[in-house]
Amino acid sequence: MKILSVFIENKPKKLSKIIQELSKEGIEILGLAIADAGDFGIVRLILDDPKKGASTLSKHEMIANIQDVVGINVNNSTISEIAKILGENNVNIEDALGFGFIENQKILVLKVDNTELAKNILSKEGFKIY
Amino acid sequence: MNFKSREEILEYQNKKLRCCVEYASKNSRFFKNILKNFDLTPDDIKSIEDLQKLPFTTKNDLRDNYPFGLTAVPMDEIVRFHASSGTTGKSTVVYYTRNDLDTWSDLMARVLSTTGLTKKDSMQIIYNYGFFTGGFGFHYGAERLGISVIPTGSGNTKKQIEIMRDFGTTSFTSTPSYAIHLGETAEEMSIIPEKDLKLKIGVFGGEPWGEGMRQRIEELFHINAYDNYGLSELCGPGVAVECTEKEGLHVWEDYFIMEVIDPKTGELVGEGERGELVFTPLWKEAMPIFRYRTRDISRVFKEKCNCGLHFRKIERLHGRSDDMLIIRGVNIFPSQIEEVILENPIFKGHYSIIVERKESLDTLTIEIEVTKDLFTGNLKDLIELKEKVEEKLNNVLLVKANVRLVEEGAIPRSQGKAQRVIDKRNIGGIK
Repeated sequence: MKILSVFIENKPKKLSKIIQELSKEGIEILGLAIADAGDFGIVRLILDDPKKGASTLSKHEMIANIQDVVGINVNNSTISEIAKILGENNVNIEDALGFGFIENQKILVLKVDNTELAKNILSKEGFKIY
Repeated sequence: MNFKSREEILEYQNKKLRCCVEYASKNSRFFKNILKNFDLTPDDIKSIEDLQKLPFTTKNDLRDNYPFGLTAVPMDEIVRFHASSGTTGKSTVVYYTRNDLDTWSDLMARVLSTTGLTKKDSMQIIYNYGFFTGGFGFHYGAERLGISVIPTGSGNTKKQIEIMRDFGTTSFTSTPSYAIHLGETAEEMSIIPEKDLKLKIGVFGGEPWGEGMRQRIEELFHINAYDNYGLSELCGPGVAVECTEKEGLHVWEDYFIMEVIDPKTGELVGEGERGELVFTPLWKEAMPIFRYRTRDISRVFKEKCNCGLHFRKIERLHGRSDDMLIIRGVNIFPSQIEEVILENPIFKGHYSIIVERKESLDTLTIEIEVTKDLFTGNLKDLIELKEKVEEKLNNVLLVKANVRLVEEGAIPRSQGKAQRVIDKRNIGGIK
């Protein structure tokens, strides 16, 4: 699956501006996480249409790009299980981007160093991958 | 301008200097007063060495004699006024006779031909036409050389680019920061320089800019970008320009005597050392002026230039002695900061330098815009970049600087001289 990463200054109204512009275009936000580094940070967004989200934000002079990540259905499993499987197969988790909900399913979103490999392994183990 | 050696130039300068002293001693009330106060006669100043007997002229002298105190001709001989852009406070007025304008046009024609422009070219003049000398200086110089002048003036960025495209403009002149703004706007308009434009040369000045900005401008437009130097008190642009070697600016020494002094003591610095530039123009009728302190910091190259000109070269300007920031006792020029920032291609020249005083300690914060093209989406990359720039700045400036990454468009764009430094310290008297 794809997420949208947006550069953001750590100031009031910056986040609400992003959300407003997306909602105006009818884009649904399925998940949101913020990684911050003091004065600035990156907002991670799970959207129903990340491409449209990127072009909407670009139009408003915001800095955004789309990234490939692994979404894993975790309705019936734990994070530690997943981490263990990935670790055993030498896939490094670079960032945990939090949880989102797609069609009422709880999705764990991970950024890993080898997205394709991670998807294959987890599918084989019976996980539903997004 | 076909001087065959430095000796020939010096001989010529001495001859012209004697004429200037003679002329000013007869016609300039301001200069007569100087001679009287320093107990000198025109005969005491026969050569460049004697020039040191004379005091410096400063911007304050021009302010004190506002508006017409330095005239050496009757008012009806004056055909033009200009005024300085007032970078450092109240503006100062300068004036020109018909001959002064003629000579200035010649100097500017020389500037333009030194960068490789010929009568076959066209030039868009993207400077304000008014009191500021940039617009008219380039205009008359380009006309003198036979260049097709396109006097668009400043502002109206999109229109400027449309005209470049429709007229097939081959060169333009503006401030370097505005050139970047123009280039980025052209990108937004999906203009492809190699395909849609015929530009090949740009001549920039009016504010200090470094190699990083040059690279950026050259990439944006696919042109050769040249630096030129001048100031209204001497005529305007037309004092010095880079040749195609792009390694220092040739000073027109047949029209200006150049000295380099220590800004604190006023003494001449050693050969090749950095200091404040001081000029004595050798041609002015309306406003003769001697040993004018420019506040601009540079140094004179010792080496001869490959282009063959015997006029000495100065290093591209580091900044003005009055742009210099003193932070915790350390002298800092904004251009040093710019060089560091522009080493990183993720930044495109939009930044501001903020100086604040927090609990009686000066802090330096550099706000830099992040750009779309190189945003990876990884926080780690941004943190590394921020830390890298901070570390480099600390090494170069010897003062701790905080880098704050900001969104694209967060720093206001300027149409003229960019307001890069925001000094929020409230120190009366010291600028």
